[in-house]
Amino acid sequence: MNLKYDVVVVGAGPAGSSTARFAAMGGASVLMIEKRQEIGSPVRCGEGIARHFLDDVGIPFDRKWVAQEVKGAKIISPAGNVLQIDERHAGNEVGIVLERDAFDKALAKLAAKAGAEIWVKTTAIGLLKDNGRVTGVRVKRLDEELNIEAGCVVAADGFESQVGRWAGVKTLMKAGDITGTLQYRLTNIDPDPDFPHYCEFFLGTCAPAGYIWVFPKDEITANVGLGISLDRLKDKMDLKRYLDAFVKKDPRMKRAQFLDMVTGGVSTCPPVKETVRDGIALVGDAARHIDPITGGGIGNGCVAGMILGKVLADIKKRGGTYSKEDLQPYERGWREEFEETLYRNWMAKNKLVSLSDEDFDKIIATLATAGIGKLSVHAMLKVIKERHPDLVERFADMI
Amino acid sequence: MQTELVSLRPNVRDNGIMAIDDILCMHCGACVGTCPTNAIFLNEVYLTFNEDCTQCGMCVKVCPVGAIDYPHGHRLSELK
Repeated sequence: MNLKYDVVVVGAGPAGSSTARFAAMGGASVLMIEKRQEIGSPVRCGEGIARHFLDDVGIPFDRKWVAQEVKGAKIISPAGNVLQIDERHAGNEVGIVLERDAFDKALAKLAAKAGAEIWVKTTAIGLLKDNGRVTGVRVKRLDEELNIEAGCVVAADGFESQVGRWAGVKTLMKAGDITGTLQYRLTNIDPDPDFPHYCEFFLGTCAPAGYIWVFPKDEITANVGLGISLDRLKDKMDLKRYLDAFVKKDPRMKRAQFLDMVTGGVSTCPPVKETVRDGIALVGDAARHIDPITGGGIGNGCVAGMILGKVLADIKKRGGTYSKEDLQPYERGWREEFEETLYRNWMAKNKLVSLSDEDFDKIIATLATAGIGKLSVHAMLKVIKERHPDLVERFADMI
Repeated sequence: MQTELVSLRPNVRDNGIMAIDDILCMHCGACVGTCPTNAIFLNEVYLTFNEDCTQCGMCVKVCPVGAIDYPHGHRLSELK
């Protein structure tokens, strides 16, 4: 068996599969490993993504992984003020509600078609290093333990990333930059004129320093979940108490029943300082490519994966060594693409978490009457500044 | 006649560092990514703590289903 590859990708989520696909497409020999027995399962996601990402990274549209297409987003304040935004302008998580398990498999298929080798039920248990340089990965595949040499190891192992930590990359977060999440997939939801046509976001103390989402999956089913910042969680099971209280209050969910329960951690931190070292690159959640305001990461993960895959293929073509210098185009590439947005949104998040329910009511009412066309932090702050200068003082440095 | 509980499925593993309720655990990795000392390991569906743990409690709070507790005898332990 050939146990030497140009690229070994750890983790077969959207970021890993995109990396594997574009690296293999460009001629690199690629192995992607997944610790679970099934790619895409269990789902750990709210499953919302904006349409444009599919074009951006060349994913052919397929009904198989689309649960519901929505017209837009509704942002709802504690008092019930609603800001409705068209899908095209509603940010990176609104447009399509996915079947994530099928979506992840579709991306893995694209990687396989491009020539990547894929192993499941294979866990990375350590990194191989030589003189500080990562030279490969030790894996357990069923009952075998193997050393696999790699020009470059790609850490696409998600929020709980070990590979990055093993390589010495600082991905540690403060409590205020970690969000605990819990989601119920509820069915038998009662009809409502706008359900299932909008992705809903509920702000305020229903989810302190976070929000509650209702993403429709079909006419009677939705992902109902919430994220709360770790520094606001006081006791065990706080997340469940908040989500249960919300479900109990929503009249549509009186007779709702469970299909699924999803849990997870989400990073809401500023972009990491370094995502490449000699022989290793971090991508997706492992590189904290998640939007600190929305907690969305599928799109960014795919885009970063594409950039990394192309860079890896390019290094292969010119006979490079996958050193830190060789990998710089990836570091620069993803930063050019979305570092500023991540940083700006992290700054905005830190201020948004200080707003009261009354503040949210005022802001949403203001934005709704002003007819804001685009859901961006910058656009919203501008409108608020005109109408409520008092509210926006805290954000003054960001406008 | 009195109802009697005849069998008991063991569910809490307490290694003296931290305790995990295996029936509750969703194996989602929220605690693993949160741990500041990288003392938690998730081997597919088996969560375990090692001696690097400082019992800081971040994992207890971040766990969405409350599956992690301090070990038996710890002042914050809720274990019966």
